[in-house]
Amino acid sequence: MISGTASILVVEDEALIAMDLQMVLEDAGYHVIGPANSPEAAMALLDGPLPDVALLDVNLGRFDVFGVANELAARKTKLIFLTGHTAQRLPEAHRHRPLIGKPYLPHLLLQIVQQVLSQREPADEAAA
Amino acid sequence: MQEPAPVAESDSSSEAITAPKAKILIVDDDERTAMAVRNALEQLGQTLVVAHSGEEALHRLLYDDYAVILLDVNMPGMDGYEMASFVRARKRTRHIPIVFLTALFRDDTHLLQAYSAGAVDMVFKPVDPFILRSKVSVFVDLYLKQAESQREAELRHRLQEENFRVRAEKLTAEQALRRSQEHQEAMEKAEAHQRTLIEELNHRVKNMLTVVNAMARQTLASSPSPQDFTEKFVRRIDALGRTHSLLSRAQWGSVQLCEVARESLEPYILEDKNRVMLNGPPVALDPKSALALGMVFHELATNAIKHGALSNRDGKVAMGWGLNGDHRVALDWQEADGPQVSPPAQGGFGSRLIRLELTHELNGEVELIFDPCGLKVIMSFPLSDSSGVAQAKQGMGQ
Repeated sequence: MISGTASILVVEDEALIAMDLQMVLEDAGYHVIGPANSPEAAMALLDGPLPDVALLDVNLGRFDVFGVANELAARKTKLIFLTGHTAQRLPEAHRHRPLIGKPYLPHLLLQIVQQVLSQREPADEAAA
Repeated sequence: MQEPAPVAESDSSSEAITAPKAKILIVDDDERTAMAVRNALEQLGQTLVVAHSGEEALHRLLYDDYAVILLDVNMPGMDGYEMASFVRARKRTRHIPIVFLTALFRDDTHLLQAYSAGAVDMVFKPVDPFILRSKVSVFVDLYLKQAESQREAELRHRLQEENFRVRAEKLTAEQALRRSQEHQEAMEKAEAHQRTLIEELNHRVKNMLTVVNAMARQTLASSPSPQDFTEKFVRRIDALGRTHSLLSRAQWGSVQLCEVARESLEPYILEDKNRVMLNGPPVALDPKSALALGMVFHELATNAIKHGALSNRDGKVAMGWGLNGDHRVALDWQEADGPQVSPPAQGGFGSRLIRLELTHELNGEVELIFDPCGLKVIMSFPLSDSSGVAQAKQGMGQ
């Protein structure tokens, strides 16, 4: 699972940041699904094979990513959130999940991805 | 004897405060009769005032109100009848009952004269203390009752006024409170608004730093040397900065497509403005689209300068755009008279960025045609408002 073949769904509306996340993850050997630029585009990608982890930018222009997050959580996909807000509060259902602040450091981002991938069970099942 | 005195004094003084006294005016030139009357009335506990002539009595009546006047009929100077007519003539004293004191003329004529002068009763001398006291006490009671009811009426009136005043004050206080609450609410609203603005600013700054980081990493990945990296990176950041300045001047509202194009292309067309022709109708862009297009224009211009129509003396670029009915912008970049074009071996960062900005950021389409006569880039994208509405609908459906 922890090997480079793990697939990661990236949801990020800013083109350059999406491009960069893709490069950082692909250079580390991961398979990137997306990047999706909107909740709608992300939902469309869920019809295909499910990712091992989803890296989700919280603010997607006028929308937030929590609809997508709930959908993914229901399918037991592990989640990592990304935000530029200093005082970002995740909704109760996602508060225990990792939150990476922007601007991110690539090696720290990869470290968190690896940690999340190495967890045996989804965090909410462990909590329940 | 000395010890109980203060107690008695305090008793009498408190009595003076609680029970109002009536004044009785005794008018008689004869000191003995005056004294006899005084003695007879003392136990009524009222204030007794003695006047020894009609003139003195009228003078007293100027300053005080009396419950009853005991008037000697027969006095030197102004006699009782004359004095009584003065009392009846004055408005202030007209209501005071007059009791005549008389020793003489117990005949009917005299009585008639006395009553017509305004007497309400007669007492004959020598004065019988019991009869006098009984008669006077009736007038004193009447006076005190009137005074009492008048006082009550005044008190009621004062209470009513007080009530009105308190109600008015309460109303004023309530209005002041409401105003201060409204003020407080306005302040809190303004503070909340400011907090939102600051948080939004923080978010933008952090996002921009992330973009700059990404730009650095992406530029580095496609740069063969540190010099090459530095030049490309600095120019790209400069292009971002230019669009930012433009948006800043427009207070982050909408900006015109041709302004974004001029701002982004300016460093490359300074020498000869005719080498890049811009042609299209007014199109208002939101900040997100403006920033994306600014980067696209910058990449197109640097590519043209390095490999395309702007790399020789004669090449030209024409950028034209139009607005379709469905709020879609069609934008063409056409190079001509440059060196012969051959398709690049692999997509560099520039063309990847152009594609990504159009598809990912603008929800549009792009086609790069490497025509040997000149590069042609055909772009189209929806205007953000209509695309925003469509996205919002789908967002709510989820």
